[in-house]
Parts: sequence; C-alpha cells; structure tokens
Amino acid sequence: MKPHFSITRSTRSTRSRTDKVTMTHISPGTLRAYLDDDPALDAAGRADVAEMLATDPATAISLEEVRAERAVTGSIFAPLAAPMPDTATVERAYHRTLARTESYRRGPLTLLREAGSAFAAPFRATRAGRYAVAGSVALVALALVMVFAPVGSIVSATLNQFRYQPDKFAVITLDTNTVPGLSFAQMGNTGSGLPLIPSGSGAGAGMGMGATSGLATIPTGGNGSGVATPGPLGAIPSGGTKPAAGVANGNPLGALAPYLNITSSPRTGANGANATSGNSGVTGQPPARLARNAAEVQTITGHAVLLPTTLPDGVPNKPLFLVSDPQTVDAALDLKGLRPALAAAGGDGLLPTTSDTAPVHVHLPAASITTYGLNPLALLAGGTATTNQKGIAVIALETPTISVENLDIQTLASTLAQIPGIPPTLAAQLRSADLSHTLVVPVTADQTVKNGTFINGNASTLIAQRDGSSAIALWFNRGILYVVAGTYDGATVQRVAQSIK
Amino acid sequence: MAIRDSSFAGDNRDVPRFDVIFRQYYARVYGILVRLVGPDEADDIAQETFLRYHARPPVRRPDDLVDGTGAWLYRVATNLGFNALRSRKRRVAREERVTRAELPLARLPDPESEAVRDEERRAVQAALMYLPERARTVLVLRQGGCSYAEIAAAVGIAPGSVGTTLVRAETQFRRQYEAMHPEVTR
Repeated sequence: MKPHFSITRSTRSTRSRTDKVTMTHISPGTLRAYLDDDPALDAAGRADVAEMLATDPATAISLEEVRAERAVTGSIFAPLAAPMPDTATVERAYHRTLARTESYRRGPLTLLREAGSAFAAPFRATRAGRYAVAGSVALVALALVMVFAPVGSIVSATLNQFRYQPDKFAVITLDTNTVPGLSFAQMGNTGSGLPLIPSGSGAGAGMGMGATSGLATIPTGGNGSGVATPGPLGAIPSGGTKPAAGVANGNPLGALAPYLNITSSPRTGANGANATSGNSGVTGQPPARLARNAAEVQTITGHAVLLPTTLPDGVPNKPLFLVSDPQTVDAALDLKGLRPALAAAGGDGLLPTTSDTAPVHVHLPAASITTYGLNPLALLAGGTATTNQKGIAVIALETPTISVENLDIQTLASTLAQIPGIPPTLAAQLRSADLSHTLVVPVTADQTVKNGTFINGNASTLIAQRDGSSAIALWFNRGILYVVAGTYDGATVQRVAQSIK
Repeated sequence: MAIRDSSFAGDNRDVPRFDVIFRQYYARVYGILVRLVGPDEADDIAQETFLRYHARPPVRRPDDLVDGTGAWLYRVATNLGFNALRSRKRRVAREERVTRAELPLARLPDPESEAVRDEERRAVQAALMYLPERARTVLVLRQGGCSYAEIAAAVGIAPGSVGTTLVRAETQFRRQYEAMHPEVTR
C-alpha cells in the first residue's frame, strides 16, 4: 500500500551559501500523524520521523509545538465530550429512528404531490380523502381509549393522548359548556385535581373528550380513589341505522367507543382474555410498582432518574420510586360495525371498504415515577389518601409510539374537526395542530396555559388550575418526555420542574 | 400506516442492512455531534442523519479504500450539525424574546457546572463557525475520534493531507478561540 505521508528531502540553508547541508524536513502534518499514531503514517514513515527526532533538534522542537497545539485544542474540547451511548441506548435510538422511517421516506414533498393528485381527480380523490378522514376519526378515539382505559396508570393518565413519537405540545382548549359529554369528577375535599388528565377507568368510556372523562390520578385529598367515575356511555347499537346517541347528544367521540376492541394489553392479558368491545378490564397487572431506589428504576427504564433539588415547603424530601414497565396495547377498530353508525351521523362512505378492521398498536416505554408526599399506588388501589394531601410527582419516559394499519394518522386534525357536534373553536385548534409529532394536551376553561417557557433549555408547557390548586409542566429533552405534576400553583410547580437535574 | 423493520435494502446487495449500519455507527455519529451541538440536539441530528441514509444510502464504489458508509454518515452529520448551529442562533434569540414576554417568573439558577459547560460549548461553537468549512469539519471529526482515513473520505481529501489540515485547523481554532476569549491563555 502506498504510504500516505512522505518525508520530504529538502535543502535547508544555514549560515552561508557555502555551508549547505542536505537535511530532511518533516512537515507538521506528518508530525501530527506521528503523534496521533495514525495508520495513515506507515511503519517506514514512522521510522523516518523517529530517526529525525533523534538527530535533528529542530524537528523535535516542531514536534513539541504540534503536540502543544493538539493539547490546547483537546483541552478546549474535553469538557464537551459525553459518555459513549451504551448498547441499550443505541437500541432505543434505533427503534426511534426506525419508527420515523415510514413518514420520512414519504416526506413533505411526496405528501404534497399526493395531495395535488387528489385534487386532480375530483371524484375518486374525494372518496379517498373521506376514507382517510374517517380513519382518523376512529384513530383518535382508539388512541384515547387505549391509553387511558387499559393502562390506566398515572403515566398514561398524565399523557392523556399521544401521537406518533411526539416531540412537542399542542394545547386543545375544551369548553365544557359546548361539549356536553365532558364531565370531570371532582376528587378530594378540596374539589380540585390535577389538570387535563381525563382518565376514566371505564375503559372505552375513558376517551378524553368522551362521556366519562374524569380528573386525575393524584387527588388532592378526601376519599377519592383517584380514578374517574365512569359516566354513561353514548350507546350505539352495533350495526344500527339510527343516528348514534353519542353523536346526537353532542358526544361524537364517545359514540365510537363500542367499536374499539382491545385485543391485548397489560391489563387484559396478552391473549385478550378480557378483551372487550369498547371496554376493557381494569383488573390484573397494576400500572406501576415500587422500586427500591433510583438505580433500579434506571436499570429498568434505561434513562437516568432526574430529581428535583427544590420542593415546596412542607413536602417531605423522601422520594418514593416507582416504575411502570413497558406496555404494549394491541387493538382493532371495528370498521364494519362503525360504518352504519357514521352513515347515520352523516358520514356515509367515510370508512374504507377494503377492510373491516384497523389494527392499532400502542407502545408505552418504561416510565420512572418519583413522588414526594404522594403514593399513587395507594390512591389507585382504593384511596388511602389523607385529607388535603399535597405532593409532587416527576414522571419520565421515552416518547410513546403508535402504529396504525389501514388508516391515515396524518389527517387526524381535520377529521376531528369534521365530526358533527365538535365546537368550532375546538375544530379550529384541531385543524391547526400538527398531530403527527405532537402530544395533544386538552385543557379546560378553568385552566391556564403557558407556552414558551423553558426548563433546562427545553421548551415546555405549563398548565395550571386557575384556582392554584394544581399544575403540571411537560417538556421533551433528548427523546424523553418529562412531566412534573403537583398540587400547587403553576409558579411553584414550574420552580420544581426547573430544579430537575 | 404499518411501521415495519424495512432494514433490508431490497435487491441491492451492496447496501448493508439498516439495523447493522445503525448499530455500527450510531455511537460514533453521536459522539461527533455531542461535541458539536451538545447532548440536547445530538440525538435528534443523529436520527436525522440515519434517516437520510435510510432514505437514500450512498452507493459503494469498488475502488473505495475506506468505509464509504462511515465517511458518508460523518459528513452528513457534521453538515447537519453546523446547519443546526447556524439556525440555533436565530432560534435562541427568538425564544428568549418569548420567554421574557411570557414568563415573569424568576428562573432558578442552574448548577454552576452545567452553566460552565454550556458556556464552554457555546464558545467552542462560536469559534468553530469562524473556521473554513473543511478545517472545522476535520477538527470536529478528529475530536470525535475519526481516523485520518475516515476524515479524508468524509471531507474528500488525501489521507496524507489530513495531518496538515488538522494542524492548520487547530491553530486557526485556537487563535480564534483566544481572540474571542482573551482570558484564555496558553
């Protein structure tokens, strides 16, 4: 192999023209390769350099200059180095990347071309578009049901609703006066709960904007179980031909619940033993379990457990470590049963006829849950909370993912906006939301939202009850979703979140 | 929308499986980027790099003396990293305006070490942006652990020129860094 470096034989002038000696000049680049012990300088080249260093003081000086320059640069860069990612980290990164390949391959230009083609073929395009829209309607409902009903943990309750690898937040304002089906169960004596956490143990009923949404899994006190009280389901006879009751009474999302079949989830069993139509069991595997310490949590979740250095006065500085194992939920949307219901509501032909089911898979990565002054397991188990319990919870997990077959997730917003009964303001927000990479966070009229705040350099969203009874801060950092929730006002929760290290 | 492991590159046997490539190179790509843009963005940009590879992998030429895949990934990663640095300046300024307008709350001070590290990173990034593109790329790749052959393939120069380019780049970088931070002395 031809050596990459050559030793230049040159004539160097010394004291006088008559006193010339032929010397070997070694370039700084070659000296640098020698210092770096890089294979680009082969053995013969290294031998030449070594010989020169032994015989020529000028070369030795040059070498020291190159060495010093290298040391200075190295010292400047040294603090910026980070530990090399371990195998588990690489695997997680791989799966995150792989999950994005589908949408990335198509790209915005491809999508634009597809949209253009649709406009060019009016009739067929219209039906194709309506199919996609119908699929998205179902997907929203399905995602909500699966996130809240089968898993039902504090993590999923906090998330409320997620999209395909969300990396930012969009806030959807829900006006309870214009969404009749929305009812929030007030828990605890103070009548306050964490914001925006429609939970719903009632399975299919637990669709965030559906009939039986309830507040939060961390009550502020009283005997509340921390789980929402199920409300009436919008009843739609499967295969019925009359307008769906849920649609008719202004609860169109709730009307979709009976057509969602949870086939496998941590709470129903992998064989779908408790699989239900529009319902799911709430018994079985608990949503989270206690861990001995932060190290154990880190081993399970694969990410460091970050803790606040600031807590509100009165909150015991004794963390309770919990972990929620990775959870996968498989479900299928009963397109066949849904078609006549949608047709009755004015959505005839919205669903594709090529398939009677739409499989959906949701993956919730392992989550760390660290609480101060609260024990969510006790609360979920039946309400052992003390009156006016105050506390903080810190949750972290990699972004959940949804994969859907046969349906188009990209048109969720416009789909929802077209559902009869959706308030205009809500429809406008849905249209403008980028749902493909956005965690949609519904808020109610009694909550305030602050965007544009930063936590450790990451854009965050802070949502607080107007009465100051509770608040929640959410942000993404390096693919991890962080949530800090507390039974305090927004400023206090914000300060706790900003102290997370 | 089914998401499947489409790691096989079809019938093109010259293109390795995506999962193999990812597992082989991710750590190195991340290591380069974390020095360039910091940990907050390194993972995102590394993902973007591999997504580009997945969408259109480079053609392997028979006369390639070194691993062309690695060189391609390093080149794309550094380009994306420098692009991110250029756009970050504008974005940070915009976000700071928003923060001042919407968040009257006093922010808790970060720990000193974190603040120092952020400051050092910004100083290095600023100095790098003054260097010619080739020089700064060579410097970043070397700091990220790339060999001379890998750097040569990524930048498109002869391996024998890497040392010289590197020495010049380091000198330029150090002078620029010291000019921007007079308190730093050799």
